Amino acid sequence: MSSHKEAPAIAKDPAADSTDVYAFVSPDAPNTVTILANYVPLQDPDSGPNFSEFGAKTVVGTAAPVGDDVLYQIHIDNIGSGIPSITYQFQFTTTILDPTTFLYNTGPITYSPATGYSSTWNRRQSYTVTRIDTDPVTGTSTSTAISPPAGSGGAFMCPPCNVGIRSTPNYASLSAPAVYRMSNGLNVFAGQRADGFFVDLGSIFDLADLRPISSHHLIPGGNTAGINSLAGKNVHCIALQLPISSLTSDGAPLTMGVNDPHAVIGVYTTANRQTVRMFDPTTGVTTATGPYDQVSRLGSPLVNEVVVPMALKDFFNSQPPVKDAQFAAAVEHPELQTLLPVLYPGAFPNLAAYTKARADLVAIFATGIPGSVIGPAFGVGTYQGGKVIAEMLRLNMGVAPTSTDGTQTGTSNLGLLGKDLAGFPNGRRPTDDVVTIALKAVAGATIPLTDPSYTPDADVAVVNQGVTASPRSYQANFPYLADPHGGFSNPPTTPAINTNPEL
Amino acid sequence: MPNISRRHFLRNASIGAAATGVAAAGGLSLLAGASAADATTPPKATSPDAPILEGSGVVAHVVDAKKGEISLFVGTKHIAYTNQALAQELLKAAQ
Repeated sequence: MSSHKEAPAIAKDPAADSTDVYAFVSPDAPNTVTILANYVPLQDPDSGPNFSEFGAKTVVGTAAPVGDDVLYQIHIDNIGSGIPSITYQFQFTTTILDPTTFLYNTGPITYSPATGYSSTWNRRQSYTVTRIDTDPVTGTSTSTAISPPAGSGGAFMCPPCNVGIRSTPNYASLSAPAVYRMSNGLNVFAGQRADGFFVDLGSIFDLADLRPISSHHLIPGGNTAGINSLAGKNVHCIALQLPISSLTSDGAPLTMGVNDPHAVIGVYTTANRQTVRMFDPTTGVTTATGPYDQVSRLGSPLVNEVVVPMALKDFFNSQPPVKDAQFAAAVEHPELQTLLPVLYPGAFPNLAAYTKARADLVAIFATGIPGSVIGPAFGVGTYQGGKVIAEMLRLNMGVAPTSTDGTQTGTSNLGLLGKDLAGFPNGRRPTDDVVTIALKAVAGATIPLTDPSYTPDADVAVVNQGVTASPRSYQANFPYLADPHGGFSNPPTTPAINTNPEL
Repeated sequence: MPNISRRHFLRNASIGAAATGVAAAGGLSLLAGASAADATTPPKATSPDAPILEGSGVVAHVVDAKKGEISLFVGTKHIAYTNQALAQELLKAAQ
C-alpha cells in the first residue's frame, strides 16, 4: 500500500513497482505543481545500498550498456480525454567505475561543485529526461530532450543511497546537488528518499482490524493506536516541479483560479519493460528486446490495492486509464463496502442496506468531482467533464496551498473530508492520510455528495487507521520527501553507537 | 585489484570528515582530493526510439504456425509478420 507490491507479478519486480503518486500545488512555490512518483518499495535502510536503485542498463568502464531497464513515465491529461497530453520519460543508467571491487563505495563519498561526486562512489546512477507533448486532436507527438543546467556535468545524477555516516557523511551535502533547477522553472530530482506514506499494514491485511476500533471487530481485540509499518523505510522517488503554465492545455497561467477551465489535470505514472527478456547463461546478463510495455501503473492510491479484484490486478497494471470502463463495476460496487458491515457487526446498517452504484467513488477515482458537489469554494472541482471513465489522480491547480510556510498550519490530513480543499482527493500531498480517507469514503462518508438522500452511519466518524505521519519523512521544500534513513543508523532507535544518526 | 588499503580508507575518510566540517589531523593540504576524473559522465541510456543497430538480436515468436503468424522483436520494435512457410520451417526446426 498504497500500491506497494499490490499485484502478484509486480511484487516480484520492485524496480518497476509504482508505490505512490503525489500531485499538489507546491506550498512554497504556489505557481508550480509538484509531482512525485515513487518506486522500489519497502526498503530497509540497512539492507544494503547496492541494489536499491532504479531499473537500469549497466555500464562497466567504457563498454556498451548491458542488461534490461525500466522506462519510467509521468503522464498528465489536461483536457479530460483519458489520454495523456504530456508525458515525462525517465531512463536510468548504472555505471560501475571499478569492476574489480565488490564495494558500492571504496571510501567516503563526497561531492565537489567543481568535480562532482568522488570516485569513491563505485556504483552510481544517472538518467535522462524527455518531455513528450501529444496533440489531442491529431495524436501527433513532439519529443523534447531535457538537459541539466550548464555546469552540472552533462547528465542528471541520482545521489548515492544513504549508506551510513562513514560512507555517505553529511548526506544532505550529497543529496542537494542532485536537485536540478532549470532556467524554465522546471525542477527535477530522482533518487532515494524517506517513504512518506504511512499505513498500518498489519491491521489492514489482518481482516481490516483497525486498531483504534478493534473492540468492535468481528474478532475483537483491544483498542490501541495504529502502527506505521513504513516508519523508517526508504523508497526511490522521481520528482518534478513544474510551472502551472507548462501543464495547462493552453500553455498559460490560470487567470480564473479554481474556476479556470484549464485548472484541472489528471496525473498517473507508469513503469514499462520491454516485451522480450532473455537470460544469457554464458554471461549472467538479461537482455531485452521489443517495445516498452506497461507493467505498473498508479494514479489514485489504493485503487488497485483494495478495489480491483485479485485476479485482475496485474491486468489493471497493464491497461491505460482510457480503458477503465472495464473496471467500473469494481468501483461502483466495491467489495470492501460489503465487508465492513460484516467485519464490524452493527456498525454500518445504512451502508449494508445501500445497493446503488457508488457514483461518489466513480467521481473521486474515475471522472473527478464536480465543484458544484463540494461547494463554490471548490470552483470546477476536479471534474474533467466525465467524457471517459479514467482512473487518475486529479488536481485542481487553482486551489491554493492551505499552508505555505512549511508549518502545516490549517491543513487537515483528511483533505476534503477535513474541509481542506488542497488535499486528497484534490490531488494528494505526502502528509494526507489517504488510508483513513479511503476507508471513510468506502464506509459511506462521501455517498451524500452524489446521493443526498443517504445518511452515513454514525460510526463512520470513528473509522480511522490510527497512524500519524512521521515528521522525519518530510521536508518543507522540493522534493518534499526527506533525505533517506541511513543504513548504519537503522533502526532509528539504535542506542549509544548511534551518536551521529543518519546525517 | 582495487586500490584498497588502510591508508586509502583513512585518506578518504579524512576527505569525508573535512566535508562535514570535522577537523581532520593533517589538514586538507596533505590529502588527495577528488580529481577531475571523478566527475564521471556516464553514457546516456538508450532511448526507446533509438535506431536498431546492425547485429542486434531479433526474436521471433511463432504465434500461430498454421496461419503463419510470427511476432518479430528487434530493438524497441514489434513487427507482426506473416509467412506460413517460415513459421512451418521454424516449427519443424524446433521439434
